[in-house]
Amino acid sequence: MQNVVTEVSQVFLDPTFLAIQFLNGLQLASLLFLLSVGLSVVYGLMNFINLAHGTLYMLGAYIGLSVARGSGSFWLALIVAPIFIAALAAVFHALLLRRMQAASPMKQILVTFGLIYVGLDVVRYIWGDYSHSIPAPDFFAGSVHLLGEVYPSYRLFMIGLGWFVFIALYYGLERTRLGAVVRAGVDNREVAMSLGLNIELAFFLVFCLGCGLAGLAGVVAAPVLSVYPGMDMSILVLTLIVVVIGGPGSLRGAALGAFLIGMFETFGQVFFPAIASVIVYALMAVILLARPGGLLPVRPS
Amino acid sequence: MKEPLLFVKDLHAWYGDSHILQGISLSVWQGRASAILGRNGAGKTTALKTIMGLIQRHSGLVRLGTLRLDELPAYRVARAGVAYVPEARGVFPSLTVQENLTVSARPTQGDWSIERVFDTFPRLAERRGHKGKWLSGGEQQMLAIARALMTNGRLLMLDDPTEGLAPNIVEELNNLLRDLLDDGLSLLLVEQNFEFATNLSNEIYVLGKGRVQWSGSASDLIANGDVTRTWLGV
Repeated sequence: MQNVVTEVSQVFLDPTFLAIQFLNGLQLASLLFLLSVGLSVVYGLMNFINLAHGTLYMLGAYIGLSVARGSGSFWLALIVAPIFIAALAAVFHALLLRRMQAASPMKQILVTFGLIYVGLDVVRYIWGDYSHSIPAPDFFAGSVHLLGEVYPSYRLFMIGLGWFVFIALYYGLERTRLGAVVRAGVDNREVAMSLGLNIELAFFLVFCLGCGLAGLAGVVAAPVLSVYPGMDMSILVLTLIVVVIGGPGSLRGAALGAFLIGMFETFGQVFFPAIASVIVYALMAVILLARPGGLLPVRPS
Repeated sequence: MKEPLLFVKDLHAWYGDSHILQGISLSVWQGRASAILGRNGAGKTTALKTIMGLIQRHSGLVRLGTLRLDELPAYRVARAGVAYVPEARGVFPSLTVQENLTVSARPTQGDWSIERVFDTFPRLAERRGHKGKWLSGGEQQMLAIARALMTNGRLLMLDDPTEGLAPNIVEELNNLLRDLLDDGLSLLLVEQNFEFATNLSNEIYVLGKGRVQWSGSASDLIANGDVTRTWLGV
């Protein structure tokens, strides 16, 4: 017994082991960031709670699956699926969400919750009940040697993609005209409109972009997690927690929230598997007690 | 007299079930200033917001030149030529001074450019890289006016621009608005400062309980003790 404890603690405190877990945490954070940024910004900007955001992630994965199988190219899937999902989001917005913006949060939750089930049945109808997978692209199919360990290079690609999207969005928000219009609309929507800015159009474009990123997350996740009906539900809760602790509407908040949840979830599974699922909720409770508006709220209270 | 630039007739507005504006009519002529005076809660701010297209539930006619504004969304009213300086300035706190000026600029529609603004407001040029939230009250007011000018509208609507400003800044503001009038811009002013408003404006509308209770020239209003006592409490 004594021996086992020593051995286990040696493995857990091994710096290489910790570094690898850290990378795993970053990889999960990257995925959560891609998923939560759209949800967060749409909730923060348009006051719209879209529970079906995860459905777009699942659809992105399935469309990526079909494109990758049809063309044999992961990269084509990575480009086509998000565009398709963004276009789908535009239709969805025109038909439904635009009419529901003034509705109460409870109605928004009920309608978008219903859409989760619609999405589930659509996926079952088209692709069936089985679980699928998209193979990683050839270029990232192998492993790299890192700190004397072997680490799948595709996971490093996921981490890099998360950072790339974060930096691109940050640059777009801070340095482009559309970014300035969006910030003006967030600061004071009424004044921005009365200066001639079409805030509704700007927010609509942001909505489509955010949904497209959920589709991107679906394709990116497919080689690592499997593609199956209901894959959206398993990640939706973590995504919602990221939005809440980061501060709705905040780009940096979504990044920070994704980082924290990615790490706590990953290290929790390794060190305290028995209570791993409780850890992230506890973290959320503690953060919300200290900062009810989230860590980096858009409008400081 | 020739046709007014802004013509408002029988304008009503509601917040929920409360009937705030109960049929006001007013005009602003090219190169001249009209002012709306009245106590707190008389409906002055609502009048400007309704003209701007910001109040959902409304009825009545609003015309700028020959163009009907009353069914247009706010951003179209702005693009049609109404420049607006809202109550409490509404400077965008997370945008820099320069971004505040350029985000809504329509430089092709008139001769207000960033260079001319920085020329007219040297203080804003010095602070162009600062975020809006770090400006003083006077600087924010200048920025809000400069930002409105950059939209190159034909009518400038100002909601209580002297509020909270030091006397020397109010004087500066007065001179600036006079210059703008001389340039041919038209003003519609909502004011708490009686002297400031009567000094600048040609036409005065006294608002009370959501209606125009009195209208006429500034000098007539100054001479009319009954109106100022009853509706303005001056």
